[in-house]
Amino acid sequence: MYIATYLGAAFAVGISSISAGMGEGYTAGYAIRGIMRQPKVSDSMLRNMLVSQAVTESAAIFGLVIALLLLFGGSIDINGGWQLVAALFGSGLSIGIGSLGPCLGSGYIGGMACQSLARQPRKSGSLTANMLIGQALAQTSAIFALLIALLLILSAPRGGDIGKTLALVGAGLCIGFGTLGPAIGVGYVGGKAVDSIGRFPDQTSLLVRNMFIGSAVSQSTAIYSMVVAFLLMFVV
Amino acid sequence: MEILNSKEMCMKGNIEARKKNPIIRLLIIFAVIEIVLSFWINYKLEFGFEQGKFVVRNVKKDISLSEKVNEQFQQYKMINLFGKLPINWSVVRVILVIDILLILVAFLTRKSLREIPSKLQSFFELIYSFFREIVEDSLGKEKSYFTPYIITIFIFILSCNIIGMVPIPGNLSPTQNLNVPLGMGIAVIFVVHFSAIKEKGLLNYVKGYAEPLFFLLPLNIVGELAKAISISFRLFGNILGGAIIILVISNLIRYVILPVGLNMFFGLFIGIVQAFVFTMLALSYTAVAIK
Repeated sequence: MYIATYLGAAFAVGISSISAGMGEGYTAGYAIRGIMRQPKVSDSMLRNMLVSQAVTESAAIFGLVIALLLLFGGSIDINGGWQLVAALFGSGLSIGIGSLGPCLGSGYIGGMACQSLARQPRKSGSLTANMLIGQALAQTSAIFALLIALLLILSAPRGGDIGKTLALVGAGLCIGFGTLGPAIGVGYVGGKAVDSIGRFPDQTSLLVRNMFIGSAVSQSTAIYSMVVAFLLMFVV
Repeated sequence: MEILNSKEMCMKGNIEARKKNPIIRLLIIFAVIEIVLSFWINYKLEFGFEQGKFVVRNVKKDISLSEKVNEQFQQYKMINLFGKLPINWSVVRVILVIDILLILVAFLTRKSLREIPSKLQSFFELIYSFFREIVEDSLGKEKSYFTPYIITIFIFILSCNIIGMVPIPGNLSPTQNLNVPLGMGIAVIFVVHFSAIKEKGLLNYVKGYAEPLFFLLPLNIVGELAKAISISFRLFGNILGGAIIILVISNLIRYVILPVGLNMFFGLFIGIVQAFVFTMLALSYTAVAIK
């Protein structure tokens, strides 16, 4: 039981901070390149970079919340049996792998926003707002992973036959790997949209509308994996 | 040079004035007091309506976190999926409240329609023209009769998402219950197929499923079903995830500031974004089916 808790917490923080660092570094690199191109915008560039990095890091903070909940949340129950072990380990895997993609995607959007800010310094307000919308869409997958992780810790059924234990680990793995690709894809959509806003600021509303539709369609596989995770937890 | 310097001075003065903002100071003092008090005082206050009166009561019973999450999540013990489902009356009640509010707003706005619009009227006209532009862009100018339907979906889902922020015990936003988004999704898909049949004729509509090759027929049918699932589970997962995150975090740290900010983010921002995404998806499904 304790081994499962500790391992789950380690996975939650460890794996999720890999890509958080990568995404933030990407944003910072583009910000520095943009300052080189337009030294006058360094103030608003710095602000934009910090906002973007804060949003990028939020998926890693989700991992930290789950790790703290696993370590100090009082979720250890000796009578829980193997199912509780599987649920705790699965929740760590879920949020750990599940926040790999959102961090990378948000970092890409932030980098592209910094690049566009160097190109269009007057549009900084609209660029930051659209960057935040794109990053919120990319972080939706992280919210799905967090939902599954919290339900695994707090609400998954306890005490059944041993066949269900692997189903709970499988739910964590399912939502973890299922959100990896869609979040990177949504990040690519949002990044290209912000980049295009930097090139054609007159077409902002058209670009944002198409960004909504494109990212919603590319996210549907993450939703299917969430449905399968629900089925694994409560029906199988 | 002097002008620049004075500008810089002004900016510095502004920043200093912002730092000394009394409201922020008050908030910080409030947060510190809350954190310090929360270690000793272990009871919580609850605001609400009891027998028609507004009461503030002390919650003595310590409910565990997992019970609270179960209460939010209880609608989906999917075991009796095909059996007789009990009606969740709290959701029906909240939906009725939203309906009455929307009807009241409609009547109040209708009553004072004028050539030179008042503030409320110009606000609604702004929303209407924004959506009509989008609809005409994607469906064509002669199809602008879809606009009221699209706006109805948007306003209904938006008010469903936002009403969960009202702090009354037992008040959940209706979109947290899977039945509401699934019902909306099925309704949207029904409208899509109905308008496709009306536009193309039945024969062409059936033929469209066997395109481009005949053996892709089952794949196309599964794709149509997946549309309804993806559009409804997206809304549901976001709103339920936000609610459970707020619940867990405000249980972990017992002070006021952070959960209020989270409520603003998940209730307002995610609520508006997801309502807009749902509407845009409904519109683009219709556009794909008609053209």
